[in-house]
Amino acid sequence: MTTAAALALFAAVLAWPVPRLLAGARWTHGCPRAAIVLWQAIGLAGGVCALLAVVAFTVAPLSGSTPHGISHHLHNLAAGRPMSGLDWLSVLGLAMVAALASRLFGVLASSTYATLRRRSHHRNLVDLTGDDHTEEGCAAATAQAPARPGAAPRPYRHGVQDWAPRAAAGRHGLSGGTGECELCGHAGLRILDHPVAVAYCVPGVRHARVVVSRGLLTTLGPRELRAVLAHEDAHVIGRHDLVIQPFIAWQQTFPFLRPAWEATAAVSLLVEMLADDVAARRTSGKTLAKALAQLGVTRALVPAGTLGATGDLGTPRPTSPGGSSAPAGSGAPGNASSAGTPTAPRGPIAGGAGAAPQRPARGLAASRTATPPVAASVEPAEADPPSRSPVIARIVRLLDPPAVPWWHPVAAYAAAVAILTVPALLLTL
Amino acid sequence: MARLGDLERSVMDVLWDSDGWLTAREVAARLHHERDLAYTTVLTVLERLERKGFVQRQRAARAHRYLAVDAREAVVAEAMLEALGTADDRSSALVRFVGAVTAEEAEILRRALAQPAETDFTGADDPPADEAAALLVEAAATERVLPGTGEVPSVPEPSDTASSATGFTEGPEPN
Repeated sequence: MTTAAALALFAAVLAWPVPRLLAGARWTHGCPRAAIVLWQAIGLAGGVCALLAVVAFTVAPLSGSTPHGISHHLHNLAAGRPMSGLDWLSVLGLAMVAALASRLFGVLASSTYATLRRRSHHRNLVDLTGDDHTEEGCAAATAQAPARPGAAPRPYRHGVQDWAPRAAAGRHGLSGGTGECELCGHAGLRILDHPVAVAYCVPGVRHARVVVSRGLLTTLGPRELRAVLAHEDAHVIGRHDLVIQPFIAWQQTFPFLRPAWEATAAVSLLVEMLADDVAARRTSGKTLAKALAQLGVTRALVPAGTLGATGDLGTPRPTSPGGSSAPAGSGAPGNASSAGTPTAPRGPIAGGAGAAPQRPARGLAASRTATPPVAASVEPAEADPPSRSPVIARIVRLLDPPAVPWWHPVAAYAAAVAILTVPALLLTL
Repeated sequence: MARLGDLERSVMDVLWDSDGWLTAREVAARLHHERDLAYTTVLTVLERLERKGFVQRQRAARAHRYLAVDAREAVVAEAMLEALGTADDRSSALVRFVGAVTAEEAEILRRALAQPAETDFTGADDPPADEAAALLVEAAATERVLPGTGEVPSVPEPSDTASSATGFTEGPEPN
């Protein structure tokens, strides 16, 4: 009985105070990989302890030692007399074991299944509508490019004007005059023809997709684009979705536990930081930080709630008091044509064309903030604002990489091992 | 598999570009594929697309006729809605580069981005990014957007920030 109590206590500690402490800790940002391992250890040990606690409670009448009790009970089960030596309280425990286990694994299975289905559906969407970027198409488009009038003075090939979906998937070569195309060589890259800037990946074993929108290609410069793609590639290669999935399941299993939500948010942030680190090593942290900031600004123009609820993003609303000071310069001639983009979608976000982030004309560096001339509303999203600001935390971290004492990751790994061994130790009590 | 995916795309393009219902034979005729496709192949692809919910079928006199369920733009919009996380999103189906950003955060980012001068446009190593960093840290500290604001010095000496940011601190209570 002591064992059961100790296990239950440890499970409770792992379910409430420990995740809350760890979710609030900032040292984890210095060593995201070790912190993720620690989170995984906490989640795993917490689940195992909760189950073992009820098991220990069930078999307590059989033997003073829990391992003996379990083997005794298994022996009884094999002999066909499962109830021998158990009282009604133990039966209650047995029912609890069954309920807890089926809930834990059931939710894990169902949430994984739901995720896989949504992913597959989304992959269909981007495969059918997104342009892929073939090297042949890119080379062909680049070869034609110098002949195009008005193309020469543009710093980047992927302007709104020369975007002709389908006809030329590879118009955005020749970036920054280096002749190198950031999009080439990316298998599974899909370009969505939509003016809102977005970049994400659809994870998968063999069918992973990295999706960028036309808005992203027109918002970011080539170096920023390379950094973003490196970030997404890190997600795909590192299978970071597998890291997050169990925490999503944890959150769905215990939606009433706030630490479960905090854990998911913290692990998601750590995974992003992990990918940031990879991208920063391959390109430059400052470039990635700039890309993050630029996309963060454009994302705020697309309030999460209003987009889905009203389906009307384009209605010009008054700028909020402390909100965007849309630089007059960004309405420069170079952008005028984007308003008349022939491929403006008619769908629910059709109005987004007006609020789309636009690349300021060259030389108007002061207005690089990608703020659209149409003063879009920057009201906070209807959803609860995140308790911390992940984007800013990531940017600050990229710009000022924290000095990580060697013992931070070591301590995190050691703590993970310790947490995982505690259940075994408690069992032998 | 990639072959089939290309076919599905081509077939959807035909359906999206047409005004009305098309029979499988008409779809096959309009496909500009490298090789001539068997009618049955087109039929198979159409059935697959119908199963996936992108195509609807209507029984005509002797053959089936097909129509795209949604316009291409609507499908793009659906993908974008999912990508922006506006749909009911409790799963990790997509891994986003930037999640939700509040207005205050956007304002901080905008101010940080406004810092770089023209040199930054072509500069190789973004020297003004330091200023942006300074501004970010400062803004975050003063506007209490970052957790543990007491830990972030308002004078953003990079080394100070780094050392203090690594302390084992618990963040403030989330609302």
